[in-house]
Amino acid sequence: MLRSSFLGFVFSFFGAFSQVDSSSTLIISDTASQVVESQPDLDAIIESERIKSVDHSYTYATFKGTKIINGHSIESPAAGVLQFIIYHRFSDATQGLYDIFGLDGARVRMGFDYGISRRLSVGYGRTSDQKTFDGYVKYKILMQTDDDAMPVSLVGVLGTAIRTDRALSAYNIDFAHRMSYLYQAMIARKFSSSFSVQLTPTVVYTNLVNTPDDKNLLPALGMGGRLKISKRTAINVEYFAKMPKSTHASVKNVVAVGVDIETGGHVFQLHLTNTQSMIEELFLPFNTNDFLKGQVNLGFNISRVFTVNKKAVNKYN
Amino acid sequence: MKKIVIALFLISISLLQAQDVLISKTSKVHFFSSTPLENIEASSTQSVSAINKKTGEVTISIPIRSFKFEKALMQEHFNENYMESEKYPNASFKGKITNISAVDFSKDGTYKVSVMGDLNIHGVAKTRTIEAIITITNGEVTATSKFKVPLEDHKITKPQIVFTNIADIIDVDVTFGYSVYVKK
Repeated sequence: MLRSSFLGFVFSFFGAFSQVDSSSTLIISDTASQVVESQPDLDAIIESERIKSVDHSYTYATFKGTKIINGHSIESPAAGVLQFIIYHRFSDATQGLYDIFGLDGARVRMGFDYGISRRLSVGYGRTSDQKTFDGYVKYKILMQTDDDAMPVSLVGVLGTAIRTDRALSAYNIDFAHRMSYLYQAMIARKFSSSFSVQLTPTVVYTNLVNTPDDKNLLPALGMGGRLKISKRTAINVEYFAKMPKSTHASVKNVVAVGVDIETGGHVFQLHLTNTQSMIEELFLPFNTNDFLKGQVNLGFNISRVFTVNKKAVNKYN
Repeated sequence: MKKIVIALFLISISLLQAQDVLISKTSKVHFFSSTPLENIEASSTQSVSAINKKTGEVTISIPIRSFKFEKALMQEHFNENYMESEKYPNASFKGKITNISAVDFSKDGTYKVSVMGDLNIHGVAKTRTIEAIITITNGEVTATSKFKVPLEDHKITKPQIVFTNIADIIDVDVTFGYSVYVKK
């Protein structure tokens, strides 16, 4: 008797507040069950109090290296981090065992990249190909975030290269003729932990070109992708398509395909590519190897990072 | 009249329920791995915790992405290769303070408590009984705890090449500062 009157009062209490129609029964049973359970849901409370800014974190590791293979990627060392790099390209295997399938004819680029802030980094290197010194500045204009509030990364590169090869002195040239300039605006997106894509609209301006068919201003479109195949390895593909009729017919587009292996503080990239030059200022205007004709070189990139400025790391973390 | 009294009675019960909950206002979760080759440590200040003062229920959620390391690459590897934070964005603990009746929240003091529940890291839950200390100073509630987490318990694997750089058992210490939960 007491219980039924209690329930009666419960229903009438809620009945006083809800409309008398078909939906009212649902409201009554829902609120009645809440009264009966009356335990605060800690999980729901935690969820509502969650600090949302974590979702807004910047996406890391769109690519594992600061170069996809030959060309720049949107990545750069973190603030306060110095990255040493050694890039190697062997010759093609057409001479067979005589030159150990091209191992004898190696070209090297050694240099470093340094992260100044979260968005700004600089780099310097020297390539044995035409004895070229190069430097660049890379700036992350837009950075992709984990919650897709920013769905892509947009990174700009401004570079300069100087070809100090003595062979160029044969042509009566000024020092300024040895210089080339690089302008890039890379757009990339990390679609998932295992798949990233990048588009690299590029312009290289070469002060001294080889033939009248070669234009000083050379626009090109680079495209690259990364597919992770295990926890620490990935396959990379890269292709640079030059604007048609901007170079002599002997200059070919650049193709590269390779594997990334990451261990501790090193990234190893092993790849096959038609160009022996490792910077855009060289491989876009001067590469005459044809990938489809098998004029392909084995190459590798090695990078090693060191944290040199702990204050900068903490400031931008 | 009777209906109104009972209605008010029911409302006041539900209000009392909310006051039983403590929500964290400050948090620090710190872990440390020590080996002869390398020390690895990181801290997070973005965890959230709730305690039900009456039942002793405890819930903690720790976003893995919020751990800050001194080395940027270490932070990247921690998230991508070890904790796989894209798959498992949060570590959590759901359990109960087994001796909650021993804690008098109205009196300042230091209380040793035992918390039993599931610690879920890297998607793998392990039932743990962890000792903690609840300190009440001027009515403010703080909880601290130090405990160890074996990597194996939560299927966190380390590659052969850095095997000796990472300890098998990680030292963890947490501190939470609470205040009464007020529903917004």
